[in-house]
Amino acid sequence: MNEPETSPEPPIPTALLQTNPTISRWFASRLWLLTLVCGVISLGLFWYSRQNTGSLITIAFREGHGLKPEDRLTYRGIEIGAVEKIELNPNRDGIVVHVRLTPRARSMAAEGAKFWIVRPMLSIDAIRGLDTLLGAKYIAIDPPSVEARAQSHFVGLDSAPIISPADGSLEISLDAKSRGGLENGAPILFRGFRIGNIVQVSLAMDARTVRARCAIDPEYRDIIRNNSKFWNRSGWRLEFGLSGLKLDADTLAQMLSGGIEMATPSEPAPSVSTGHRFFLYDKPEADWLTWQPSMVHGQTLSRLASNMPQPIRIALRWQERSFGFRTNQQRSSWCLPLSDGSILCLSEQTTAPKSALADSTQIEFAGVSLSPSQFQVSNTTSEASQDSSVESVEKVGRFTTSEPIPVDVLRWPADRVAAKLPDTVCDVLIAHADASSVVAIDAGRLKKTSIDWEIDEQVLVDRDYHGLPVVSADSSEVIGFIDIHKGKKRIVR
Amino acid sequence: MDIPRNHERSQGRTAAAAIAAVLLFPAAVLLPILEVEQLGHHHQSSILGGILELFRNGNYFIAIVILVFSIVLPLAKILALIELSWLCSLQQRHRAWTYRLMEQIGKWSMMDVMLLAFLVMLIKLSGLVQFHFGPAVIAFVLCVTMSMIAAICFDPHAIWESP
Repeated sequence: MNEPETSPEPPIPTALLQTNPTISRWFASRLWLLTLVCGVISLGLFWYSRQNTGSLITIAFREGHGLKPEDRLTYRGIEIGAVEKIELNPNRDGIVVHVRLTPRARSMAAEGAKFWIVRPMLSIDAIRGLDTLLGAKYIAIDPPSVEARAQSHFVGLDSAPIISPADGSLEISLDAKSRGGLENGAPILFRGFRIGNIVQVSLAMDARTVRARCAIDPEYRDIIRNNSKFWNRSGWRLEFGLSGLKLDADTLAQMLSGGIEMATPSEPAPSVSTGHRFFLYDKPEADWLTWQPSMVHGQTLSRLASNMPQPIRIALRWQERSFGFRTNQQRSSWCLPLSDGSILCLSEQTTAPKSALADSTQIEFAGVSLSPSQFQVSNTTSEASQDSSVESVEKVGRFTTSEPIPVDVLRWPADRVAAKLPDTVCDVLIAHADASSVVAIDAGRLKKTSIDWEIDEQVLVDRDYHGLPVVSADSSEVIGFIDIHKGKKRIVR
Repeated sequence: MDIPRNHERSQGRTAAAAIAAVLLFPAAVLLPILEVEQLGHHHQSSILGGILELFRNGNYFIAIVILVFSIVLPLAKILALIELSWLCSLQQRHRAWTYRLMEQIGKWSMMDVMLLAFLVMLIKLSGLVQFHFGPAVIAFVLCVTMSMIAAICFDPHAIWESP
């Protein structure tokens, strides 16, 4: 085809593209398409296989504990890898375990992962790894954080790691003279109720004391105050006296592994932060056991914490004439600015006694000072309740002012103020400017009278709490104010 | 002109199929071919991995037999076919020699027999252990097919035709 066979004219020397006929025919076969497909399939299979085989990691252990090839690596009870082989390390002081992870668990091989061989452990408060008593041993993993860098060589732990405390728990350390039977994991009790546990018991750096690192569960962290006391309740106390034999032990676990009991005084100090150090006493003093603090803890607080009224100080000043002299008098408590611009407080806070000299009264709050002409007292409740009887005199007043209130004063939504005290008593919280001073009062400690709620005498409410707003734990509405008068504590409206 | 063209076409086909077989060969040998699950233990092995395991366990004889008859000889046969179909580069005598060699190798190349062995195993053991084929099986079957096609397409007359 390329070469003209017969040409009438003498051949003109033209450059002819000469392809090798053999090669071109060689490639003419349609079977080459199949070759291409096969090549793609081959590559595809390699790719697929790579996707489906997990990475190989090595873990160095000091001790094999009877681990065998094909034993599992488990996490949360499922297999995420298998031991491929185990060998002695070159220095003969440990073993190296080769583990093949499953493809999905590839991210487990990252910096910070902890491995240990699970074997039966009989400790006092728990029996761990019982499944390994008869079955095969397995390797357990404490996974690394999500963004950790990938890694393929690990050093395994000799035993299960100390369980790291839950997020948000309060870590404190207790110094004791002697270990006194305390074990890792022993409970910390408040009124016999577990609020945390010992993470680790060890000697202090200078070996002068025994230090117990404790974690208090997040919901109970507000029970631990600066002035809390801790004492060792380890083991049992056997008292043998005239009255007979007295065995004192709380729970079996505590009897065996020891425990720490704590109490917070009836006037709780501010909460502590992580790292706080307490002394661990051998036994409680008698009055510690009678302390009855009212503290908000757990979910009640976390639900309301961001949502508590912020009372501010208010003072009423006036002048009186006594023995012919003008004397300055003042009365101070708390008030609650509302979003509609009015201010709620005890009505005694807005009206000076009759003995006051005319035009000498002044209200001061949030850096504003108001003369009588500058504020307008209005009553909170409707007219109907006012004229019903003399008894139901308004204890809580509302006033408005033409003077600007500083903008940095937090205001409580006006629609979240109840019109009157609820018909039945409920759990309440006394709001305080300082969140750690918030006091909770259980409904059982409240008694309803015809006009107000009386607070049980056992509940310690400081004199300074006079005039603080009270929030219902159920509806989180402001339902009244604290009124302390002649030692009687009331919630009034 | 017709006859040599036929030869050339057959050579093209042979080369295409043989090269396809070569491309599939690594996948067939290196990738896991069997995934056995017995009592919760998962184990997978490739042909080459299995042979290495046999070596490690000291079964040298069986390991060598399998290595030679299912890896070395099949590969040699395919390579010989490619060489034969590559006409231009070879001398006639060399080609004849290669052809005879290939004929001999072909008798001992047992790749297809191995496939049969796997099949028998699947049927016999399916009650005892749970196992499935790995990705290498596809490559293996295709590789056997391709080398067969290459052998069928090959026209020995081409050897004695002068290019």
